[in-house]
Amino acid sequence: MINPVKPLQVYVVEDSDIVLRLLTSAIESAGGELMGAADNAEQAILELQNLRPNLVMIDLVLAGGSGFEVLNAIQAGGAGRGAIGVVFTNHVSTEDRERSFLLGASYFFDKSTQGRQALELINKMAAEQRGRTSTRAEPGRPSGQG
Amino acid sequence: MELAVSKELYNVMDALAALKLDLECEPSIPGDVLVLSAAKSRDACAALASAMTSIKKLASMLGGEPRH
Repeated sequence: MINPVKPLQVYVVEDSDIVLRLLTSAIESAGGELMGAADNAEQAILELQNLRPNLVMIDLVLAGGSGFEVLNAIQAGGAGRGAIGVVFTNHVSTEDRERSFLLGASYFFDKSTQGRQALELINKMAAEQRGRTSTRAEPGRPSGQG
Repeated sequence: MELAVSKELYNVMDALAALKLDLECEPSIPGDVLVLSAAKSRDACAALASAMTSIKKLASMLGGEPRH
């Protein structure tokens, strides 16, 4: 039985249309899939209750609420369970960074200076996801290798 | 007032950050691959337009008169 290759699934919490378009383009170019997007914390948390993305890209200051609320909901298991939280923001004080990691963020990128690294992470994770699902699809091959 | 100014400043930063990525300004990217697609050119123009709109709003908030 052949399992279809499942692309990297990403949810984006971002209130800038321009940055959302950039991330969408990067996700699709990497072979990933944008599961959904919200420009405010309430909508993101609500939608993430029913979604299981691999990755959630989160801006900290939103049209309503903050990215910290979204991180908190993911960490508490009430939203986007199992997702890797990636903060992508222009709010880069030490306090913002430390709070993000305390709330379970796995990565923290400064939009102004680390945009390329954030896009490279999406590429890397999309490639890993393809590798994982295609390995699973090969009958008889031990899992967790390759 | 300060909150509105701060919000607009972050809008400018968002637009410029997106523009920087669209233009692939990183020095590590080889020159021969620096060819913008039509889609990226349009996105870059949209980012510039957004930054200009925000700067105009900022100028207005800070009490500046438009110069001609």
